[in-house]
Amino acid sequence: MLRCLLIFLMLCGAASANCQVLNGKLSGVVTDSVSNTTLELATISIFAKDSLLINYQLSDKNGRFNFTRLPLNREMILDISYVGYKSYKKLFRLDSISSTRNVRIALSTNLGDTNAVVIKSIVPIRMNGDTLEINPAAFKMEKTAVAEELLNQVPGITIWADGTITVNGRPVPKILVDGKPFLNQNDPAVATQNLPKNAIEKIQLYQEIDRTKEQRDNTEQDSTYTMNIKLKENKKAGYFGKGSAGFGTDERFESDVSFQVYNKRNSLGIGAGINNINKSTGSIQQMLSNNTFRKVNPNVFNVSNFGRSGIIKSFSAGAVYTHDFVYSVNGNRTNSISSNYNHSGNNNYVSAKMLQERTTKDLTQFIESSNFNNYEGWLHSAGISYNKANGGARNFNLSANSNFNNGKSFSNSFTSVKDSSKALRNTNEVGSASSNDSRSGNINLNLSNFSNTQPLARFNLTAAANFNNSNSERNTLSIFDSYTNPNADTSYNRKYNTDQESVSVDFNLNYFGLRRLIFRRFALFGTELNLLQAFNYNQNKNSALVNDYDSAAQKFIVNSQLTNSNKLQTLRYTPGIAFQKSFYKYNSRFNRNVFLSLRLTQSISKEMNSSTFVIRNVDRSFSFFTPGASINYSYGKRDIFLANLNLNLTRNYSYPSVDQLYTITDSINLYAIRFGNPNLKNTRNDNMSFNLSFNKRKPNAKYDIGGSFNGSKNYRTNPFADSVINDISGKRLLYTINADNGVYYNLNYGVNISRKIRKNSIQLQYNGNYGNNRSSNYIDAIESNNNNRNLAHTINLQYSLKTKLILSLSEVISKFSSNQSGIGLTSYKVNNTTAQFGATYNYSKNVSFNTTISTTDNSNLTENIILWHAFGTYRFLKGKEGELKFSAFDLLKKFQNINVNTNIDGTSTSITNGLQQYFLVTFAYYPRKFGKRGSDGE
Amino acid sequence: MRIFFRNRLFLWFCFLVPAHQLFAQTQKIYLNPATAGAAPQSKFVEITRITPIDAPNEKINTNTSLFITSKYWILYDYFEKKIYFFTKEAKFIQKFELKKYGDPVIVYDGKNEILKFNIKNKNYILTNNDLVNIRANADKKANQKYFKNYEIDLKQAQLQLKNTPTDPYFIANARWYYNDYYYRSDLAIDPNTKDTLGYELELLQNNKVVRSFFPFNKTSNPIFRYAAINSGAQIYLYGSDTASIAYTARPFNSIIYKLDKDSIQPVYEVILPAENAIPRSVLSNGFKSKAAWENFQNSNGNIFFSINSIRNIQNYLFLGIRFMRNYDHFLYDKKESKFYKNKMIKADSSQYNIQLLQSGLGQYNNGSYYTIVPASALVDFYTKNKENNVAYPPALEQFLKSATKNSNPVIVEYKLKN
Repeated sequence: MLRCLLIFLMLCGAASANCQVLNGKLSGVVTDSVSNTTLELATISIFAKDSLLINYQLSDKNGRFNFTRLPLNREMILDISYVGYKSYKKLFRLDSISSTRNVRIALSTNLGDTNAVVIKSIVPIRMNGDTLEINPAAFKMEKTAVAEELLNQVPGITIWADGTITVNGRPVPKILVDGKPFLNQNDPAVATQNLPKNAIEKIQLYQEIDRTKEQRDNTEQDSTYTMNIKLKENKKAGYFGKGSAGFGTDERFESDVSFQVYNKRNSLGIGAGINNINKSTGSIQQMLSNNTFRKVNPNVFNVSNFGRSGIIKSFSAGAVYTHDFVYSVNGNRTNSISSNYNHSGNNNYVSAKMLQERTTKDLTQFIESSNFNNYEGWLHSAGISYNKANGGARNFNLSANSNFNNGKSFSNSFTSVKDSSKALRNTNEVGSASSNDSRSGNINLNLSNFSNTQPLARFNLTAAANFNNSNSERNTLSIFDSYTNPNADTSYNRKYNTDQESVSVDFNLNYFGLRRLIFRRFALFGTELNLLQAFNYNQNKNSALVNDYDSAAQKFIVNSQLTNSNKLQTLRYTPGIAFQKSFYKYNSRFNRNVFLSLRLTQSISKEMNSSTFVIRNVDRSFSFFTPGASINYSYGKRDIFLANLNLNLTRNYSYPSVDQLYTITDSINLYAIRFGNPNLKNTRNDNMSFNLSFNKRKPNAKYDIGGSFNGSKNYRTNPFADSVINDISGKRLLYTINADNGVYYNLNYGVNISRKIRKNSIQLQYNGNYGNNRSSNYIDAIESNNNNRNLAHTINLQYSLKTKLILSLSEVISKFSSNQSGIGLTSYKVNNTTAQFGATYNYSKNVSFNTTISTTDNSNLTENIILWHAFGTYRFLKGKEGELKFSAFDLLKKFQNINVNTNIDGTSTSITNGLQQYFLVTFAYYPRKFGKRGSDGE
Repeated sequence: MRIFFRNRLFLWFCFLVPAHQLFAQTQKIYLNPATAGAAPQSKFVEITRITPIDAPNEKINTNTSLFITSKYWILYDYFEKKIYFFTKEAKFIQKFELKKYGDPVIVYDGKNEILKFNIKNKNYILTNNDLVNIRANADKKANQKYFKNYEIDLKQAQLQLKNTPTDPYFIANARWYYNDYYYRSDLAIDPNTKDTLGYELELLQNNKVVRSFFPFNKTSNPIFRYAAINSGAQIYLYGSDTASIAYTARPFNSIIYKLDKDSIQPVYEVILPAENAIPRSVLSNGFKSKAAWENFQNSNGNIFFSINSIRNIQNYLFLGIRFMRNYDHFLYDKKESKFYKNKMIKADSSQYNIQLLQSGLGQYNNGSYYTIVPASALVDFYTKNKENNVAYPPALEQFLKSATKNSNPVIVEYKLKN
């Protein structure tokens, strides 16, 4: 890590050294020429002589401004504007002798003619009441620049490496275009990385009520930032997209197509992708997100995924259409219908070799297996959704989705088990061919009313119905040879025909009008009363016809121990009541909120199982009291920080399934022959979790800082666990038991820091995770208390030198250890470090180079795994619509697809086939048109 | 039925009177909010006294309301919910904690020298419909429990906060106009109401409506339905030197009216630039939902909403204009026929940079106006001008020598220059 960091810092330093000298400072005060009083929120802009905007600020409450890192030996224009005053413009120059200048600018008022003020300057940002407005016209950028590049220039706005946008440390959860999610997509990148700067009239940033908290009382202080990109009137219709095709060595290829067209009330997006480079083509939404126009900091990680096992040929095509019944530039008022269709498929060939160390009584087993698997599957999915929302108070959503899935696979594996003296104990050869066909559908309804004017009619209702129908055929041949007990040798040729049908209906009602209903206008000391009603019905029909091949008779005969029909019906009713109370205090300097919630619910279940096996004809009833409580505390100092603490306590139960109680034992998988346990008791889960977050909210602060600290504790009484018996023959028999009580801890902590220095920025994101679980199980009748710990650190560092150079470094350090208390059982420890370095160098406006290098260092591997990719991109044609890209993958030809997994049974290392070095040339064309030609308005 | 008939008659009267006669006195005044003028404060204001608050054991915030009575200066801190009593030399006398009572509306009854506290009973949660029903039956005893009234008799030597019977005018959301006249403005729309005719302004005497102005359809007025309820829009009367004369304006309307007893006439019409005026289509079509209204507000922050805080004083007309998301105060100089934006009226060093008109005119009493100014503003000025030999009144200089930015505020008394 230190080595990587050093290289990173050297690169940052080298990059900084290449740029011009930026030691100039200009500070000052803007005052009124008559009264000499200072002017707050005046816009101070610094332009180069050629009108290129260098920097700008709004004056603080004392009229002060302070620019640092201005270029020396360059003519610049200081431009100050304030509504009602004459603009001030002055040419100035800073040099090495006088690199710092302090000025006092007195603006004179327009006393002569109040109606004749002509504002000549284009103000880059200004406060319009309580709305911050960003004027794209003031930013001299390339014509092809997109909204994200513009936002990167605005002080206080940070676009984080994960796509999150913050303003003075505060996240902006809602990014809208003309008041609506752009093209009905949840990913704001579809808007910010596609919309050109010159199509935008202005970007508005304002606060509005957090609708997610509308059902609460007394939370006037809850507000959230919304960013609205307002398009120019003549740019409210347009199209954009991408078509690309690439061919490479080793017969590798990729092709992506996406196209989106929109006007005021309609939008259509289509996308398709096909490749054999292990790149996920994904859903239509993912395709639209991945194929954006952005040129700066291209998505160099949406490429071949060398980490995926096997060689995957995948295909996907889809479309999404949205129609707004009303034209409204209003995110809270919608009346729209959206439909989507997706067709995807993949063909995956995996050959793998796995080495495993497994702890057993007195000795460790060494398992070696080699297998191959060939899977081919197709999916058709279609959905339709109707949304009607009115100011967040009333919402209606009805959606329906259907999926048709079919696939077939062939697999073959050979496993050998040796003891610690390397003596062979048993082998198992398994061959399997299967095909499956499934159809599923669901209908979801969400209806809510949070209107304060109708307290008796405040509710949130969700209802869903799911249908699933599937059938599969599988033929498995399994030959097991035991070298310790030849009598246990088995050989099966078994056919499974399985039909499954399931129906479920869910109904959830949260009624917020209970207090009003019972107590009428009485406030009940400020306590909210909510009625909770949940109803669930599940029916699952299963029919399995199992035949074994009788070599004597040379035909398949029915296996009566496995052939069965089963019908499971579950009815669950969960009534409950919730009490909520808020306390708040605020003034002009701070606000403090406390929100208490107590939920009391009783879960009443009835389960009926009927089976052709009499023992499985079980009727059971359960009734569990499942309370929950939460406390939320937030404290904020205006323009300084906001801290939030959330504490949650819940209790729930789980009961053993019929399959766990009366398992139909199938011994074809000889390393996991599972038996039932009719004496299993219910498990109780007690959960406690907390979240603490902190965000600095200081406007004009040098650093944006945010942090979080989260933790959870889960205490399980009578948890289900496995008792594993390693049979003398080498077979493994599994019994589900109730283990001793277990405790699971998890801590998660992180901090984000960013610093913007003029147009350069540096971001640091750290995330840590510590997990500890103490549970018990039985291995060969020895009770073992397991103490598993995992510790992980993830560090991301990104440095942007304007748009010229972008460097990123991420490092994941993880440690896992498992201690077994059972005598003779082995403890394990694994350390893994993965470092990834990415660099983008935009050599010119049209040419850029990118590279990514990742290394994996695992304590179970003798050598590091290194993967190095490099890319060169050339953009051409008038609007940069053409792109030629050369990609070189696995330059060092050292990559091996190795995975190390660790659990309480031991460690396993698998080596699979996968991608190897190849080169790819891709041509992409980005058709784009926003409004009529020549309507740029610049 | 009689009321219905009488109201219809009034409507007919409105239609029959030629418009040019009804608006004959109306003067059009042109205001461009973006370019309204700037001026030194000394052009309009003369500071006559600066009095530091003398309450060494109390921490008084600047977010306070000031009431001037015949004997006291009273400060109400609405964040801390404390009310402070001072002599007219700003010497602290007494304070009352009001936190346990709720959020009071404080009214000074100068005629009887009583400070009234009207408080919604926080033990009840009332919807807009509840309030409409309760106000319609303000005299019902059952409705008294939703409100509480307290008062302090300022004539007594020992100030005491006393519980008093609930004021039916407060229940009816009525405010004092003059003598025994009160006024009420309720723009709520109720599609289910039986009487479709409502009035934007009603005068009351002895709890009975005696005069009504500006009729509107209570079931279907397109602009009020969502905008009024969700924005607290209503008509307020703003007093003048003459008890019976008040000035007022209607939401979504830029005409300023003069109310004299039971007659009302338009006196000024504020003409705004097209970019600030409400589009005619909005006025006629209204809003289809609360969301449409909220969106209109969000997208049109600088569109006119209403005129408030009207003070018509000799050559000056002070007014506050509420835009969809902004608020600004303006001063119209009748002699110059010119608007000034109060934010641009800046104090100079002769007035110690004390900004007095930024939020409109202060409290009026006996020809003077009073405003609370934070100590930090004066301390800033004092620190920066130590070398400039600025002459301060002795009391102020004494205060500034030991004051910090966190010291208690000062009360500034000033007069308007004519």
